[in-house]
Formats: sequence, structure tokens, C-alpha cells
Amino acid sequence: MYNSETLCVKESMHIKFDDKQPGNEAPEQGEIFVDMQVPEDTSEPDQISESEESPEVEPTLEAQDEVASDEAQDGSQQANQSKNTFKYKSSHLEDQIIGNKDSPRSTRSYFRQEESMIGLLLVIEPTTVDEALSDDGWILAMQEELNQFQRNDVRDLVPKPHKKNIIRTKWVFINKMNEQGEVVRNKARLVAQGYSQQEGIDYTETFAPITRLEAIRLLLSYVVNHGIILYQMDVKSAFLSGVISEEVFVKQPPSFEDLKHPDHVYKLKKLLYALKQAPRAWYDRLSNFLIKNDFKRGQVDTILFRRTLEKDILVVQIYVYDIIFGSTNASLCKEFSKFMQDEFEMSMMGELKFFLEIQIDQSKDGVYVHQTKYTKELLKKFKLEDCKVMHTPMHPTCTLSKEDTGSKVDQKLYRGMIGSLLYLTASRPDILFSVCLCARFQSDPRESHLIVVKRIIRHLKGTTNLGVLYRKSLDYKLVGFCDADYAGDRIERKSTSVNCQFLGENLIS
Amino acid sequence: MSTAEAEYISAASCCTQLLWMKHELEDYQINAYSIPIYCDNTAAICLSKNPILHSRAKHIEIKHHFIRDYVQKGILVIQFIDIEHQWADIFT
Repeated sequence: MYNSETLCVKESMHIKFDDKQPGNEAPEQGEIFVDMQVPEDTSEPDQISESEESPEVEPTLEAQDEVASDEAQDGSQQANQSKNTFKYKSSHLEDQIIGNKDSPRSTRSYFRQEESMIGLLLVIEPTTVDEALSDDGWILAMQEELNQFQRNDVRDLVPKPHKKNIIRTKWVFINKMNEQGEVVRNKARLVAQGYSQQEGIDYTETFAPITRLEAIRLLLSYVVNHGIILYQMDVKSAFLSGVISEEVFVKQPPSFEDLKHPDHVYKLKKLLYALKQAPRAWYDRLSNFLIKNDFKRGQVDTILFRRTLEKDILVVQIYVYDIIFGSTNASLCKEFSKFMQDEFEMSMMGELKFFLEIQIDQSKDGVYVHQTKYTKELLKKFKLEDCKVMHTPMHPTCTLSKEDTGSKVDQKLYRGMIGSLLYLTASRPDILFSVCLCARFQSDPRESHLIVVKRIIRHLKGTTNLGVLYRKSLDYKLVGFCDADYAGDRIERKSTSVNCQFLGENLIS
Repeated sequence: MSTAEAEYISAASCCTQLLWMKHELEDYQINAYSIPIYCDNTAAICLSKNPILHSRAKHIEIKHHFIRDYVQKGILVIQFIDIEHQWADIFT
């Protein structure tokens, strides 16, 4: 049984085995085992014993390992063992399972451990705590998360308060992937079930520090004109570092209850993920910190911070937990990244390249903004990778009507397509008109509408790497263009009004 | 209802955007003044310059008329541009 105070696992004595019941998953287990026949290196059993395992467990494991190597060849025996494991899991309480993992199951987890060493981590993400607890890798991940809480001094254990809303917590398991889609790390995160909070009682005001795309474009255009290179920074467990202002009580995490005080609850000092006030408190903390350090907050865009030192300017833009910054002076950038890293747990990501699914190429000539990766994913998602390329997004005489009698199409698919395309307009203003036209039929999409949408996507296939280029211009002035199409809409005879704004030569909106 | 009205409303919405950007630029310590708006309809331009409400334009909602204030203050300047150089044309 796991004890969170002493951080060790004690064996519980009352384990009952039942050999009679064959588990359904027996053949599967065998299969998994065949896959897992890794080259047997004689690694020390110490590697399996994690921080929470008590020393007396180790001899058993060692013995098991020897058995395991034999069993690798003998699938049937293993299947038999897995039956045992399966049985005891179902006949025990949730919180007693952890301690028992040194029973037959550990042979399997030993192999999984070895697997992880050679980069073959299982890609399956457990959905329940039960599932996760049967695997050492995930337990390790959960332990890591709890350790992080301790490091950050997140909470206090207090007796259950009277008449207070206690928020339950939940484990969320994710596999961290790299760019090639390989699993790099198993990660467990304890989140609060924020939806059980009530407005006015548990929290008052909520918002997240995000900005409009136009603001980012404005920043890019500004940066290009001043020859600034932008850098990106990522905050590790951003919300954990925010200090909480309200009193919030959460339940103890499932299966990691304190043995002595199982009824006690945690009073939070720092934030948990998915709490309603989490983003706001994070913003408060960060902005206070920046203002203290001579930064000026933007008047309109409150997540833009600026610091002026004689002639040099340092611009910082926050987007929830991404921080973009750049300066006319390179040493100022280094200084900033260092002093941010001192205050928060940060990781420097280098030059700004990929932000909100938008790729940003910074070069001498200017900044090129495109969404090639996103477009490719979009084509893949809608299974249109092999389609014929269209040269125009829409036929000039294309007419769409609301009273179409054609067969209905899947609304979810249609809306998905429109949604993805709308986001793509961030770097592709040329398809804006056609996408917006199709978007009007979302309430009742028909076959004919879908064909038009598909044509836009086919057009994209030929033009995946188009984007918007931001260049340095001599005439750095704000200019607006406006135009209207009088009663251009065939259905409602409404007029279309459009406008675009340029800063120098750069399109903003 | 006429093309002029459509263009006028479009200019007003352009104006809102520009004002927002003007304030945003002030954060970057850039002061923009007499920002040009290019419009391809002379009637709409005249409407925005003329503060008097006459019978032909009485149906235009008041909220669109705020552009007149900014034109009078000199923050915005509405200029004519021929259709060949109208960049906003690709969106319609």
C-alpha cells in the first residue's frame, strides 16, 4: 500500500489468488509477450525498483526476472500468470493495488521497463487510474508529478472544512511525443475537476491571457521593421507557479491517499490544472513580476509588455504559457531569458519557429508566415491527400443556395472542414472569401456545398506552402482599404463589406 | 439603399479596426496620425466628409456615422482609389 508521507510501499498481506477463472485477455497477453522479446541484457534489478519501492521487494523481483527470461519462450505459462494478475486486480480495492505489483505482474512490467529503455514505450494511454497503476512506467510518472507538487510547495493537508465545496481531482495520462510522433515520455498530470466549481463561490473572474491574431501580426510587422529576432520560451507547469488568492480545497488524489488521515483534504496554495482560476492567477503572477522589473503593460493589449532602455526596446508577448520576446539588442534578450529562468521554471525554445500551428520563418529579407504543416495535416485528416489539384479555390460562377434538395451530408464533417479552413485563413487571406461563403451553410449542409468545400481543400493541396511575407518597408504607415460588394449575396441580397489594413507593406487584418 | 451605403458601412468597420491598431501601435511607441482609408466610391467619401444628415442618407444607422467624427478630428483621411489598386477587392 502506498503511503504518501513516508513515500514507500508496504506489502499488504491479504492477497488471494484464484487460478480457476481464465481471463479473457489471456491470448492477448501472450501476444504482447512475443513482441516484448527484447535482447536480454543483464541489467540490474535496481533499475526497476523505483523511488517508492521498499528494499525488501527487490529479492523477489530478482527471482522473478530469472523466471521471466525463461517464460519469454514459454507463452502459455505466462498466460497462466496473467490470469492470476487479472484476478487479484478485480478482487481488490482500488487503493490496495499499488503495493501488489510485485506479484506475478512484475515480470511483465520488468519487460516494459526494459522496453522503455530501448525506446519502445507502449503508446497506449490509460484512461483510468486502475489501468495506470498496473504499470510501473505510469506509477513513476505519477510519482514525479507528486514530487513536483512538493517542490513547488503546492498544498497543505488539513482536516476537512465544514460547508466548503471540495473539488475532486483526477489523473490524466498523456504520452509526450516528438515531431516524428514517437513516444518520448509518459506523463501523468493531476488535474482538478474544475467544472464542479461554482461561480461567485469558488471563483469570481476568469480569463486566460490570450491575444488576437492581429496583435501577433502587428508584432511581427513591427519586429521586421526594426530588425528584431523573436525568441520563444515555454513555461514548465505554468499554472503550478501561480499563487492562488481564493480558498480552494481539493480531495486527495485517487489511490494516493494519506494513510493516517484518509478524510483530510488539501488546501491549495498554488494552482492545479483545470481549476477555473488557474490561467488568471498565472497571468497575475507573471504581470506583477514583469511590472516590478520596469516593464510597461500595453494599454490595449494587456499581455504585451515593453521595456525601454535608452535606445533599446524589449518586447514581450504572452500567450497563456508561451512567451515570445525580442529586442533590438541581443544581449538584452539573453539577460531577459536568464532572469525569467531564475524566477520561473522555464525552458528556452530558441528562435520563434512554430507558434499556434503557424510556422514562422525568420530571415534577413523578412518574416514568412505559413501553415504548411497544418495544411498537410488537414489534407490527411479529410483523406484528400491523393486528390487532383485545383488551380482556383472556387469556380467564378459557383452558386450555392440554402434551398438545396440534394442529399444531406454529415454535419460534423462539414463543420470540421470549415473550422479547420477558417483557422488556415490566418496565413491564407486568399481563401477567406470562399471559406466564409461555405461557412454560411453549416446549419444544413448538402452534397453540393460539400463539393465546393472539397474544392477549396483541393486548391490548398497545390498551394500548401503559400503564406504571408512580412517585409521591411520604408513607408511605415498605417493604411486602410475598404470595399463593398453591393447586394452580392444571392440568397439574402446582403452586401459584403471588407476591409484590410496594412502597416507599411504588411497585411495586418 | 445604394452602393454608397454599402461602401460607407464598410469604411466605418475599417475605421474601427484602424483605431484599434492605432492604439496598439501606441504601445510600441509609434504614433499614427491622419491614417488614410482608401475607398473606391466617391459618394461614400462625400458622405463621410459632410456632417449634415440629408434625406437620402437618413436610413443609415447612427452607429455607422461615427466615422465622421474621426474624419473631422483629422485622425482618419478618406481617399479615393481606383479599382485597379484596390487591394481589398480580393476578399469580395
